[in-house]
Amino acid sequence: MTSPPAAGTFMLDGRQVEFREGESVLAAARRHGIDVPSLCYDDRLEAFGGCRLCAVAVKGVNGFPASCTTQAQPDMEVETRTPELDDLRRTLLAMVVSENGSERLAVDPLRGLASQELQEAVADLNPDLDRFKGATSGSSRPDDANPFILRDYDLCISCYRCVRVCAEQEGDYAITVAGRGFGTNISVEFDGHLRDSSCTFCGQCVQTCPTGALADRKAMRFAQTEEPPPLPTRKERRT
Amino acid sequence: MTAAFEKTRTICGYCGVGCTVDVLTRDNRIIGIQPALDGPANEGALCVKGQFAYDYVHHPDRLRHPMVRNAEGVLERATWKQALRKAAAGFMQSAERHGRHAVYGIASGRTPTEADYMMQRFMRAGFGTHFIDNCSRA
Repeated sequence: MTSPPAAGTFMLDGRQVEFREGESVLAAARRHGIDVPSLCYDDRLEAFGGCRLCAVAVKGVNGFPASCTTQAQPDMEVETRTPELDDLRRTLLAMVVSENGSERLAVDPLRGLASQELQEAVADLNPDLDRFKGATSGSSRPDDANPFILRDYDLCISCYRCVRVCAEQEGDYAITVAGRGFGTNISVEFDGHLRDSSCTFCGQCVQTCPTGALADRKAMRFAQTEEPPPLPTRKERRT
Repeated sequence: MTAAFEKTRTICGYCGVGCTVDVLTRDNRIIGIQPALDGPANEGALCVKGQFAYDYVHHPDRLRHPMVRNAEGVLERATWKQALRKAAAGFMQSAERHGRHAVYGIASGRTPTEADYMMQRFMRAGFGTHFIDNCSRA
């Protein structure tokens, strides 16, 4: 991969930094070693702007735009860490956490490559985990007895990274978002099982999931932090 | 949470694409595979084989040495030299008895271009048949 050429400079947390053509504020910040929190962001995918944790303060702009969907512009002045921003992020993160219940934030790293992102964001920002406790979205599918991908949607925070990686990277469009509000869940056609869908079991949804709601079922055989759901037997897979 | 496994950067052993992977091991045993986001060929992607098909490595059924059939048709442990001689004799016998097109070569998708070139030369120049294909056609 060749990087696009440098397109100018802007002020980032008081530092003059260069940005590349078409680069978002978030991408430029991370490239310059500034850790802006995020949950729905995967730098291989189109920016989604869903979780809003990457909100930043831009001089002369009302409100706090998401830095993943804000293109870096010459001479803009951006702050990524202010007490006000962290307050906002704590509120947002408390809402995200309420989606899956704070009891199951710690998940085994064998679940997937990105599975620690939510608990790391919580450790970073320290929100009030019980502030919005109540209704949750997403129900696990223990009935989906495929041998590879555990669909543990009780942990889902509806960041849509799995759906987007399936479409944008794998080109498969096997999974989709169904329902609205607390009825939101990740689904395949007719609400069925992955093996009856166009899923190729490439595992990219597993590896981009920031909560472990999608997990590497085979690796989970070796999980140490909790009892992993067992792999289905051959007979169970057939039925 | 302490990392309860080691990560070793390597290249997937399946096809010729050469995806970069991190193999997760504990006690010198493979317990998982993760794609490398900075892998130049795959940029974080894998297929079902590279991602999940690693149990063969420690499988008790895995062959650890060459085997050939004895006069009773039972497989016995052999040296590489014995096994290759036996295979060569079988190929040559088939070609002699049924003609050069009785032999058909399927090159592996796991091999590099140079090895595949050698394979097609082996079939075309060696056996004199154009019956040479590649497993990736399936």
